[in-house]
Amino acid sequence: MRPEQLQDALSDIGEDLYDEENLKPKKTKHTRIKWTALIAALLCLSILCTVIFRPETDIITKRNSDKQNIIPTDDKTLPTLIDPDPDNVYLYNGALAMAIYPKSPANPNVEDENGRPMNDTSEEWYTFYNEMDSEFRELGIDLNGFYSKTCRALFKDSYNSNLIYSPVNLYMAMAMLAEITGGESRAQLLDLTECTTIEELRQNAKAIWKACYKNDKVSSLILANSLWLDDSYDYNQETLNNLAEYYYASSFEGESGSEEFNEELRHWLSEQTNGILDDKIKDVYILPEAILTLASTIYFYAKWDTEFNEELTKEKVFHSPAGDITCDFMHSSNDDSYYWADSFSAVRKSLSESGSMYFILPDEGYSPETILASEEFYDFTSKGDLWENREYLNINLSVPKFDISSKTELKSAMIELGVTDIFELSSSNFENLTEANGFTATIEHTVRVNIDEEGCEAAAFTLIMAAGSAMPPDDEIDFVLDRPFIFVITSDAGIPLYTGIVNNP
Amino acid sequence: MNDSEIIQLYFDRNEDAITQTKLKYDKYCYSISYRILCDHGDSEECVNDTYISAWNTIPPKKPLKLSLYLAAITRNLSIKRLRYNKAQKRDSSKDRFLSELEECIPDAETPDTRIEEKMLSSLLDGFIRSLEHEEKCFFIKRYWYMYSISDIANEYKCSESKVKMKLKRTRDKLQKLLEKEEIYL
Repeated sequence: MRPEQLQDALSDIGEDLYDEENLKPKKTKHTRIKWTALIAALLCLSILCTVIFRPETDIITKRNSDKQNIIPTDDKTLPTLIDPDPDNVYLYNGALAMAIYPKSPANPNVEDENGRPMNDTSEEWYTFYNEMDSEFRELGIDLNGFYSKTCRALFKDSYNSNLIYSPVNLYMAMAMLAEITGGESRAQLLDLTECTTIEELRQNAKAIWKACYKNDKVSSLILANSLWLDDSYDYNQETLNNLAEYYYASSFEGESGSEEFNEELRHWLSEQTNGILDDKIKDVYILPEAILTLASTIYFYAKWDTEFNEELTKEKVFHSPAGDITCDFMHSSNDDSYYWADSFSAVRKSLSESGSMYFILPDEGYSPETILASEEFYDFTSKGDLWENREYLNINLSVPKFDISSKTELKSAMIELGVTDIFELSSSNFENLTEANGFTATIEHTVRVNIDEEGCEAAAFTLIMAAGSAMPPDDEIDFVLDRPFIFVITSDAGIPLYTGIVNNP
Repeated sequence: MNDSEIIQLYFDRNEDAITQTKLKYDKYCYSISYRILCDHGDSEECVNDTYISAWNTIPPKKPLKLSLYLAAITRNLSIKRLRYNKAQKRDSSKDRFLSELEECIPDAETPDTRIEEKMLSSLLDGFIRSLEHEEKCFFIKRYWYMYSISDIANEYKCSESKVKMKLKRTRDKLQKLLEKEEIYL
């Protein structure tokens, strides 16, 4: 086909599509955003900790590992100041290899404290982000296989609780583990990540990291990786350099269990999570038995493209598995895509230049776990906008406001997925990290997701609302998430960042 | 005079139909043509040809919205003229809109995969309907009306980079759809 054919074919699209009455801009109260005053619209945080232990202390470690409570499960308050600062590169004693993050231009829509645009050259911003996801697109990386098998293993039973998982977080952690392992241990991790060689995995990991990266003072998505190594062993510097180059992972050496080393880990975690969890991070420490603690975090902040109207937020009943509860429901009414399948329906809510959040409601009689076990669900998530059963409708969306977290020990799921050797003394092989042997690993995944209707401190700015000037759709639908549902958050490039079951908002 | 009265003049074969059409839609049609051709003389000719085409096709056609009917004719005539001009000048360089659209078409994996234009239009129609409001606006403004990036940014009060990024994402999505339908360059 020639591009001219595409141009000609556009001549025969429906008249309503090029009717300028339907192409009017939506009204905005303000077009610029003050970056110093942002509150969460969508704030997600996940930390994946892999700890590799000395053999003689394995039993003690299992007993003590519950002490690592990195993310609070009870704190419902979040600070109002989000100030991601890529320049704030800290220098630690004992740094063996440091990752250098790309420096992002500020979003052209952001103004400084004096009301001046922070970035006059919008071309720079466009070029930067266009280049950042070019490798991901050119390589044609498809994470759906990894996504579907890990979700199936992890979401077997939510036990009527909220359960959240970050596929991209796990992928990066598994890729880093593959980098430090050898033999069958590495082969199992390559199988899980669907790569045939470590070189392919490196290339994919780097492309994924870059495609996810966003830090432009409007939205923030950073995959931050680090290794905390006990100084009583020698480590392969080439491996640490590879981790810095391909996985943007920094490596630090110190005495596991010492207060100085713990303080450095807390400092790093605090920086990567923008200080949100400082009150909880103060209790984090590296177990004395650990030879390696691999901390992989994702911090994601974004605004809704079209915000929920705060005045419409009202209490409503949510039918949780444990019984009816009352919670605040946010409401919006917009023209958008509505999707349906044999056992669920879904709507998408866009995030401002940062991807999308899909809300998936199982049909009556189906549980979220059943949906997450089905082929159709992964067919839907891989196709997204190209899903056949889709209508463009006026969607009256009601979604409970939530701030949920979950903490999962991943060992049993990993074993089910064929990653067995790293957990066994007799078979684990960490030869690419150190010549010493006889270590075992544990993996713990903690995630927190918070959504609310706001995108700014006061309702005075950046509220975007429907102008009512567009042609009304022929039909409309009420999409009420008042019973257990699934959410999926994807990046701009369609990478699955988070998937969760909400049983109790 | 309203559209239905003008259309009635066409049906009555009253030549005042063209005068009234010109009075009401001359600037509108000219702006569509000029955005494509960037030439005053050529655009004027295309607009005049639009009126003749309207006279020859109404009846039997009875447009629901005269402005959109004229817009489609003007666009088609202007694109044809643009291609003719390029051929006459033996200019092998592609215009900027075509080179952007070319990005959407996946490289051939199987030879000579052809698609009927009507099928392609229907595919594009569905695709555009699936887009978010802003994506749809930007796409239509850029590839149907052929607005410049800066004009779109001004109209929607946003940065040029935002327009470019949204268009890029939309082209990526379209490429994925064409790949799925096995439509290759």
